[in-house]
Amino acid sequence: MITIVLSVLFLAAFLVLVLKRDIIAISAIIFSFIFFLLAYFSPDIMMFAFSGWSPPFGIVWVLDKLGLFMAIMITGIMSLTAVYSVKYVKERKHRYYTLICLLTIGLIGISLTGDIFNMYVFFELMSVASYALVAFLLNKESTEAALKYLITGSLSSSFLLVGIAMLYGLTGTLNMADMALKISGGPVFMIVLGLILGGLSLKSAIVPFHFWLPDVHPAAPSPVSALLSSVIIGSGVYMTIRIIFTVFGIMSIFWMLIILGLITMVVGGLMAIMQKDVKRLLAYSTVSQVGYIFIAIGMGTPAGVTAGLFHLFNNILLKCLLFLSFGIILWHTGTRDLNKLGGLGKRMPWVAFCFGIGALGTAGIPPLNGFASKWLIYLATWEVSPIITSIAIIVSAITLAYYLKVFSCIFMGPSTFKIVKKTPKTMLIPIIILAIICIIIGILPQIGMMFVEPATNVLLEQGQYINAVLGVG
Amino acid sequence: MFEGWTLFVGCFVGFILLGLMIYLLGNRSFRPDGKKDETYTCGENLQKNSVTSDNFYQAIIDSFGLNKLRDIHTGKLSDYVIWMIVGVVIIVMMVLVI
Repeated sequence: MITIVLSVLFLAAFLVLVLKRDIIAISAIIFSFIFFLLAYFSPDIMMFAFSGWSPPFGIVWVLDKLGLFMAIMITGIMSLTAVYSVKYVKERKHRYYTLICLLTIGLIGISLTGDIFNMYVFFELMSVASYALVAFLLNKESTEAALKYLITGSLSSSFLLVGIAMLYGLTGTLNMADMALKISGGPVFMIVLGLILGGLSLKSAIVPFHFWLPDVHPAAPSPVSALLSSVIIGSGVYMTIRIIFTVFGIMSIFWMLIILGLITMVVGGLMAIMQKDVKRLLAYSTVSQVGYIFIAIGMGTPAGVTAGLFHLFNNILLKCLLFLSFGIILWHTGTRDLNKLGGLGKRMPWVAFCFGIGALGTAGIPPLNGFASKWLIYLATWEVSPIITSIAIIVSAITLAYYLKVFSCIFMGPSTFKIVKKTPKTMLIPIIILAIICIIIGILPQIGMMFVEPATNVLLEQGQYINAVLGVG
Repeated sequence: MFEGWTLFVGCFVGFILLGLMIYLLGNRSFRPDGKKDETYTCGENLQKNSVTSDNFYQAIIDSFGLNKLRDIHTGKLSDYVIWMIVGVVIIVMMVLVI
């Protein structure tokens, strides 16, 4: 069945280019979202072996709760972004939708494959599609940003590939469950893990691998920025935690994640406060929030991992909401400069409301979803080190400070713009849906936890995954 | 994990709604016209000012020397690649030591 979803997306990527109908790509992505949502409620881990080759010899797809959690998030966000792009993207629209379909396939493949080299192949597919999407506007800024992203991305892919090759040489298998059985804790394995983490840190935007993100965001179209800061960063985080927990299953490197997370959180927050380009500011905000996720996961406790995954879930929603909301402002005004914007609150009340929800949610203000996950992070870190909790709370205050600045500069004060165009409904509806989801999850966090807790169990119970794939504990 | 959450959020939302109601009711009963505003003439000449992005938190940025952090983000590709290689070396060393 999973092959049908991928075939539909591949076919849509081709047909949208030939028939020049956006609806083909949008329908295919919404179809995949519905499929994964239905698959999520099946009771057991589902496994599909390609071409009848049983694991560990052939490529397997493992539909466990963590993979499906990511697949639902990816296809859901992709569906909303695809609808949003109908009016936003004006030129070469069909090429855009082809790339969006390929990006979706890459991200789904990363989430669901049980083969580490297959994961790398999908990682490359996702990366190449995202390089092209960043360069989509074909102006000087976007070309430079895409080139930077391409070169740094290729370097990170090289580290990842060398790590995977060494791992294959040491274990003699590419199946992640089989690898987990054969990995021992020697220094060579640690070097391999270091190379793989180094390679993945670029996509996760961990400091000092974060440089590409603030340069790429302003140059890319707003829906692409939304995808970069939500699902693409999310897939980097997903690959990191999947490899640490499921393949290596080790607890000793968690202090490293906490240290990297702290630096990332603080640097991202401080850089954001100095920005006057809204997209650069939002990019640094993403860097800062990734720091929170790594700190929580670095705790290594069930509470910490739950908090980290819940914050990943919320950050994907909030960042998509913020970029799509600002995309409407950019579409009307054509500027990202905070000094030039102002007074748009009265002209675009719905956009102001949705952006406000995204900003307050990211800052962790109750009763929004960001507060629910940050609250869990505070509780989880307090058990290990109250100093980390204090730093996390201070960075939350910094987050609120820079979002107040953004909101004040964009929506308040005197206006210098005449809004002549009417905002299309295809652009407004996705941001309103996202804002409503953020409010509902803030008021009823149990809804979010319904997806997060089973995903946490998958991460913490390595034996269950191995048993499901290989039939041994 | 979220015991008492509904009560907390309910109180929070309730207070926001109450505040909003008081604000709206207060605005309805008091609507000064332009003439009333001119009753007092001895105060400061108030003008509607807006703070530009550059002025926000500038004192904090200067006091803590945060611009040094900004200087590292040069936008040069060669610098980014060097940082990446340094980052990988640090991660490998941290993994080996920890």
